[in-house]
Amino acid sequence: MADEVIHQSMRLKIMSSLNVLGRSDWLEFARLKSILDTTDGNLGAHLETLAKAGYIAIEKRFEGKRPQTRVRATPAGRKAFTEHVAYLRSILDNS
Amino acid sequence: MLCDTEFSAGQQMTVDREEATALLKDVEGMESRVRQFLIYAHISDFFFLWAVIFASGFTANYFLREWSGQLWWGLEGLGLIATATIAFFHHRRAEEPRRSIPWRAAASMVAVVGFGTLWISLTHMGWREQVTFWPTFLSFLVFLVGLWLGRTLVLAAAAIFAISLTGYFVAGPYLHLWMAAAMGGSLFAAGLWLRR
Repeated sequence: MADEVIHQSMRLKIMSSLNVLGRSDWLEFARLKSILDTTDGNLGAHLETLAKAGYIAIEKRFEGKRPQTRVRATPAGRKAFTEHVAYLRSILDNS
Repeated sequence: MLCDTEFSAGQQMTVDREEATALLKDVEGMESRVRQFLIYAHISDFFFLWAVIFASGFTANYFLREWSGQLWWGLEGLGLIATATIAFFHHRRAEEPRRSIPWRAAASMVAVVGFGTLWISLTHMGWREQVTFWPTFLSFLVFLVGLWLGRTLVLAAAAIFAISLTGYFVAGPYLHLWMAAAMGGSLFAAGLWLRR
């Protein structure tokens, strides 16, 4: 079954990126922005949507004196991503 | 083929074969990019470690030439232990840790150092050739690895190779110091570049 939250192209890319990391590993906002080649505003909006769905966790902290935002996929997010990718594959398999 | 799915608001979400293909391609592309980033981040840790070892080793070697053999055996031993330790921590954090990875990393380093040492002994290289051999040999190996892992590594290795070889021809009696700056500096810069 398709997941309407993850299905959006940028959010699917975000979840693809976070799903590769270890379960307890975080990815910095700046690094994710660079990997996705997008803007702060666009990425921030999509992260907010994913966080509201419970698919990612966002943490704001200080690395020394420098503020840092980092994100990671939650178990629910990993499950939803895996199921959505399986759904997309099933479309190809069934056609 | 079209698949209809219920939106929570009651709308229909339709995904056709072309869209599914494009989205799956996006997924694969992103996974590949992040994996490469993770590999580069891991490799950069080894670059930082060996930058310190080479910079301190060549600098010490310039001032303590009579202790050259002992110095490098000690530093290489330290480097091997540190390499295995870093590999161990990397593999422990991995999603699906494979017990053999730290040992493979250490065994690879032993094989590389052993191979180089063997040929330095068999060919009776002079000190200038010995000093130049290791940076060029190691950067050549990194170059080969880079051909499989990514362009950044290839370019970094090519730069280190070129800087080291240049030193052989132009640095004269200051070759050790040249290598300390070239290997230490370029490995450190390459490590930062891999993490950019």
